[in-house]
Amino acid sequence: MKAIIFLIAVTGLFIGCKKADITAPIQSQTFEINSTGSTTWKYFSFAKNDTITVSDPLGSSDWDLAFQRYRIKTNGGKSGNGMGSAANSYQKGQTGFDALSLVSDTATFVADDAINIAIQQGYATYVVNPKLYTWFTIELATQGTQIVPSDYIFIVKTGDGKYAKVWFKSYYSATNVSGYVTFQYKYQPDGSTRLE
Amino acid sequence: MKQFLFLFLLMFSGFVYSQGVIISGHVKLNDSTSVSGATIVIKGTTLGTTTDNNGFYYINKIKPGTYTLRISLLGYETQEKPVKILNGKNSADFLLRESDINLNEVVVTGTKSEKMLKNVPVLTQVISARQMLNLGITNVAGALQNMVPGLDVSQFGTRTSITMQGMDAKYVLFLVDGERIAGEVNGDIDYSMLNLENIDRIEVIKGASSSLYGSNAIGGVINIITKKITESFDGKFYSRYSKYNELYSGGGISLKKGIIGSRTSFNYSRTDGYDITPDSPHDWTQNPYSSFSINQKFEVTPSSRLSLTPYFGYYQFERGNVSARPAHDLYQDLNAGLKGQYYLGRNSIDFSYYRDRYNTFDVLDLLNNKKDWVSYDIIQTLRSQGNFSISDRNNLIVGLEYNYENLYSIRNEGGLKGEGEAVVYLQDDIRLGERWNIIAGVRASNHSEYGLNAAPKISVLYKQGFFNFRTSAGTGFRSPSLKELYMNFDHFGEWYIIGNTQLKPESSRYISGSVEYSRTWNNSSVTVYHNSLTDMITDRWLPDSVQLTRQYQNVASAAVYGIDFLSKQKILDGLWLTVGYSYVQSHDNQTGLQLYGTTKHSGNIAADYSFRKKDYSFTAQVYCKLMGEKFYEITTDGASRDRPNSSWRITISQEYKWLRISTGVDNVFNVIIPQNLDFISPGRRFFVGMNIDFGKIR
Repeated sequence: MKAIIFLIAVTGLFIGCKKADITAPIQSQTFEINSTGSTTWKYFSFAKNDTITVSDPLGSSDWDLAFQRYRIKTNGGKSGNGMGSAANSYQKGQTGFDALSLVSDTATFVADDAINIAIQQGYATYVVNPKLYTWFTIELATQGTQIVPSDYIFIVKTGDGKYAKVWFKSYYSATNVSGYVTFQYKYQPDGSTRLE
Repeated sequence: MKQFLFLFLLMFSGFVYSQGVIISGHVKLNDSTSVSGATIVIKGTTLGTTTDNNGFYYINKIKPGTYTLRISLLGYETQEKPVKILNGKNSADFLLRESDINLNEVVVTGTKSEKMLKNVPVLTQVISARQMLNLGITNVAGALQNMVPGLDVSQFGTRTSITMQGMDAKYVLFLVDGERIAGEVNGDIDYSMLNLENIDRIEVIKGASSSLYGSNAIGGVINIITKKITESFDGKFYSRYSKYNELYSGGGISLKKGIIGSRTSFNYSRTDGYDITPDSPHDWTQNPYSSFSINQKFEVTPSSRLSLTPYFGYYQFERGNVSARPAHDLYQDLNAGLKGQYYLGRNSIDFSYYRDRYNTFDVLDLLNNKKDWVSYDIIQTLRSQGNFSISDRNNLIVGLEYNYENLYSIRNEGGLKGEGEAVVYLQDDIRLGERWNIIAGVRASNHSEYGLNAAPKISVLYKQGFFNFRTSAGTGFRSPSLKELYMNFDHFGEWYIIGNTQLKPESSRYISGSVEYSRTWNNSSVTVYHNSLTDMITDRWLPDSVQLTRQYQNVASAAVYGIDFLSKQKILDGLWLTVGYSYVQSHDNQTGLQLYGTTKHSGNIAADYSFRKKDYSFTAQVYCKLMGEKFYEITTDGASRDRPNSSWRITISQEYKWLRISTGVDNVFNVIIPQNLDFISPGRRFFVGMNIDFGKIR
């Protein structure tokens, strides 16, 4: 009996080691997306670490995030047929990006829906991811209205149901043009909830 | 060529026939103390000097004839004395009187000619350098807000904005020595480029009573008069420090040798900034910045008839970045000009050319501080004005002017835009008896976009005992700015503001009346006015555009009327009380609402105490600014307004010989109102300042 337990333990240890070998730490990536167009959407794939062209956004599970100015969609709910949704980890990017190691069991994932936003003239209705609409705050100065990142780390469920942690860092290009969203992320391709 | 040579000879002819003629004299006070540093000019010539340490003056190379001598010195009453100058030696002595109310002060803004304050039919308020010094004020916008009833200053983000008599900055013409300033944003210029050390006085005229100035002079004209070149050496340095590492310092040097005079002034200021609205951490109340400016002026008087004044200035302002953007602002201004005056007996001809260029850049923090153009604005003015004395009682002014403006902005459609305007203006100044003075004028312009426009005006002064009655009526206009014509601004991709090349000028009709009571111990004035505006330009939503778009249109009209009161009263020897109050009623004819950013009630109270003992002088001032509720607009959350507020300041200055030390406290009662745009104080602040007058060191 003892031998069997020992064997299992050793095997377990072996498997554990093996597993650690396969799942080397996932790479942190930073991407700046040009979403300056106010009528078109730009589609992004974590697996490709790049923008992709999507002809039928509602029928494709290739894309994970879509950008239009500061508005962001995931591939789910009213935006797509994929398994996309997003949750707010409520951890701040500067201090917690590396430390956030796992998708929390209590994370509330929300799929895309229509939201009403007060704009200059009454209200506008956007179909976006409601959680991801909190990636920024608007500081209204009479001169130079600014989009200021909230610095929260978001957990994004991709079109094919995998996880990534995403920290949206800036809305401006190095040349100070608005509509360039820079985000840092770690994408877990193996489908697990591990984010390191 | 021969004519040219003749003209040249004519200019220098002053030398030829006036070598031996001299006028000299002594200037003293009632108690026989000699007065040094007083300025004496012979009117109608370029000749003048200042009194020496023993109160003596000496002017040579005069052509014999009948002249008027004018003597002036800050803090004393200006005097004019007619003298007959014969061949050989002549003399004229002066007895100066100290005066806190100098109605003999000479002003130029209202009539485009030199007139004593008490004789000018257009009511003019003067803020002197001395008043600004006693107030402990460091910038022009602050000085105006403190001294002019009905003039308010608000802070919109990084921009300082003024309103006067209920009209916003678009309708107030801001000038430096009569010249327009480049780089306005919504009518507001960059007030921080106006170097206080370079300012002799600020003349303020409310309303369109001086339409000789053309576009924008609907709500009033504010003209900054720079310091003159003094005859003897003058050097000044000042520095003021307060919380948040706020530093203002600067200085000026004035020299004259023979026919050439020079004046240099410079300014450096900086602050770490502060934020009283922590819920918007990227939008500070006072941004950190550092700023630098230098102004240089020369004066060449090759003869008693001709004076030439070339000048230039440079200014730079760099803002520290506290925003969420990877860029910060850099502003630059480079201006240069030439003014000339040629005297022909009792007549004279002025001519000038002026060019002002204002640049704005984005400095990109992530790209090694690379500078990216945002905009540049170039204003050029060429002007010639003849001043003709038809008789003792009738003076005629005829002016020709050409204005050209170039504006490049990344927010404008099609990059660089330009517009030009040719102008002729006429003004007749008639005195009837000793009591009446009438000034009638018209300004006609031909604009490259809007064609012909004429703006007539009339002002009348009637004197009765200690009372002066004035009335003015006139029309004014404001040409659409290049921004309003060509803007194409994408606001976040949510909505657009676009210009409109079909715009026509806004126009106004202004009428005012005032009564002034004037004694040596009291000077008070009450003014009532009515200003009505039509074809006002405002941005409105376009109904059927694919993208939400606002476009500038000539759709609004408004009426503004009110009453201004200003009084200066002597309480005891050395103690004066100044009270100002302004009531403005404004009305947008379409919405029925009060105009944006206006307040109905505003006022200020100041008590000044000073005494002098030999080389020592002491000045103390308690100052209070009162501001009524300010209205902005009706929003989805209700009306946005600024709370009524009062702000107190105490300044104490002591002067011994060449050194002046000032200490004071701003916002004595530590009032903090984060939601107000017109009250950006971070609370009580102490300040300490120092002024050195090198001219007095010996």
